Amino acid sequence: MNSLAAFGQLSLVAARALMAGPRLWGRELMRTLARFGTGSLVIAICVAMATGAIIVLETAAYTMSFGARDILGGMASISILREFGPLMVALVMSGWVGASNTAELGNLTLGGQVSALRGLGADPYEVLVAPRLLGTVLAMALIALPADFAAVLGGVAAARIVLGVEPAMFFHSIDQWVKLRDILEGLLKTVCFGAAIGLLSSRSGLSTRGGARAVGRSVATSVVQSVVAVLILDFAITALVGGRL
Amino acid sequence: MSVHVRELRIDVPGFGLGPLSFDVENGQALLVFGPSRAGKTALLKALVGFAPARGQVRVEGAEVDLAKPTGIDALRSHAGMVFQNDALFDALTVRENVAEPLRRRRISDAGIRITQALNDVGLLDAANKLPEQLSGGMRKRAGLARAFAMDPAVLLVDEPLAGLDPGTQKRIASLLAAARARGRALVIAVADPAPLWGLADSALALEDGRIVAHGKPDDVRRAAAPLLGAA
Amino acid sequence: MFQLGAMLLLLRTTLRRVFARGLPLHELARQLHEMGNRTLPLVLVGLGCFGAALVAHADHEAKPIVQDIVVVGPPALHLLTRELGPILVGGLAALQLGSMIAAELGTMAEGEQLEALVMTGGDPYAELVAPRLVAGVLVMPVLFTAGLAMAALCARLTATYVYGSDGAAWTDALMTSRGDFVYGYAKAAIMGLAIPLAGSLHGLRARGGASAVGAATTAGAVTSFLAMMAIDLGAAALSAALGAY
Repeated sequence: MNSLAAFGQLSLVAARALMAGPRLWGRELMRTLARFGTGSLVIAICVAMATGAIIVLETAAYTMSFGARDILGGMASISILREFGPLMVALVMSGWVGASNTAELGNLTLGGQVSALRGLGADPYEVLVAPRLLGTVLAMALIALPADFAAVLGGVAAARIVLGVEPAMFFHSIDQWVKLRDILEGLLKTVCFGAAIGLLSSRSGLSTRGGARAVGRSVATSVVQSVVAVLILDFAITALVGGRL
Repeated sequence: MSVHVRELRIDVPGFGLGPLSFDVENGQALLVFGPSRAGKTALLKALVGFAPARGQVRVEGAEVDLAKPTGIDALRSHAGMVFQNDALFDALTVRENVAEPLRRRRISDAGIRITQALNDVGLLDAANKLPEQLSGGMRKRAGLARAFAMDPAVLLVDEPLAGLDPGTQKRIASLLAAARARGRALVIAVADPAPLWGLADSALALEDGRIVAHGKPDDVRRAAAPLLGAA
Repeated sequence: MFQLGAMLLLLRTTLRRVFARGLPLHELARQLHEMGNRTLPLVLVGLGCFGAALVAHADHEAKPIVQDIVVVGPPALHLLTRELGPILVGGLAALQLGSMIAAELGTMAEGEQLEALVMTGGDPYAELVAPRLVAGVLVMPVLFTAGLAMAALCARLTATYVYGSDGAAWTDALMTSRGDFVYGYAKAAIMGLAIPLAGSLHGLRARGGASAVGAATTAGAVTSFLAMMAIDLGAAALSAALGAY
């Protein structure tokens, strides 16, 4: 992949999507939200709960052997809210929101509808990409808080069932250790992840050339790019913002 | 080489077509026409078990009850289908696409048949191109070539002339006529029947999943006049 | 869960057709190549980051308690082999392959290529689904190995060079028995069957335009992911019941 050309292309997509903002086709936006928002919410919740449980179990590996049950809740929750919660939800969303985006735009491109749009004088970026981008970001933002909540609940459940730590102690520890900035950092990450996924998946879809195999490849590329972008952004935001909010 | 259909009922979301019974004998062509979403494609697909349907279909002695489609493979092996959206295998070149059915059935003179078919539709120069490199009309012709190369007993053709220029349309029409003359049975679905009236031994007019008229071409033409006027 | 019946049915149909018609080896080779190569970078990056994150996390959380994070190494590797490794590798593979397979087969289904295949004497189950199933079972254990190695290696490097601790602890299989490896591999192999099965299930059903392919892609990724989690949880339940834990 020619990185410079790719970056240029990406910036172009972002710029055009932004410029097209006010003239969005409202229906497309609503459709994106409905499809990605509610459908993904259930799965994101499940993933978040599982993540919470896993993180608690992992944190327990250190805290429990030293009898530090009382800080388990707080420590684990910080990790969940700042790091693993947003990360896992974003990784999973890149898989289906991103992939689905790419598959659909890929098919539209192959079927000539994208060229047809241009022929009609409409801007594909305005009509197809901008709404999807906005929809993805909004959906991720909407899912972020419920997912955080679910992750913590998952952690509580794991602590109680597997480790015998009472919920009351868990929550008390959260109260002691978790700050608002932990939640905000997580939200910031989630929104940025959403933007990255929306842009990268759209670009992959629109640059599909060929047939069914090409669509499959575009989808695979979109997932890889989204995951890498999410990881890089995660690192960047942690480094820049971490604890300084 | 014939198709016999009894009590065909098609259940597609939106409408239910049927009951319909018809026969297409050797060397005959049934012309199915009507506006879009009339059920033409659904009908063609139902004949080979690709649409949810009930009824009996017999092709070349292979009889199938669509409710429990054992034996559908045998029936399908006697039929060739030309799809509305060409349905070419996008990872294969035009030549390879046309060769596919022959390769699987290990037909001996495949090479000659392929070249002949490609020549007939005028795609010999484009034989080594991939579908993505072809125009819509060329893809349509490739789909026709694939079916013609198989030379099946029954040809099910969905919109053979759509998207083609008048010269090519004439060419395709004469190829269909030649197949008919060779004793093949044809079922052809079109939105506009005008170019193919001469070919039709019987006709079926559909609209919104209802049968408007069925029988001899002239009778159907009269009965379905409003339909044709609007087309 | 609701798809389990459909998936089993697809598996049965595919097995029947393969026994009748044989498995096309060139397609199997192509799938091994595509599925493996597309997912390997993802697994390496993902598990590598995770390995480093494990150490960073340990340093952050465990330092106050255990002084030297060296003691965290062996239990972490154990957890990685039995649980975290299969889940992460399986999760990434599910998102990547589940969506890719659904997208490719979905595009073919929507474009009537599957029907054309049948009409020209071919069989989608033997020729398209079966190679993907076999390739999945063969590729997943390889991905698991690579991911595990990468995570352990990155953990070791991070511990040594970033935190000045003894990195060797992170590749020390002190607490990880051969049985644990078998457990992890078995899970990976079963996931390797379930993921392409889920992707194919939804791909084959796609009808009705580009948005149908997008929806099939999402469904493929989601069902693959859920299947992966079900396998992991089922294995955990089974091993708990057998007292192996």
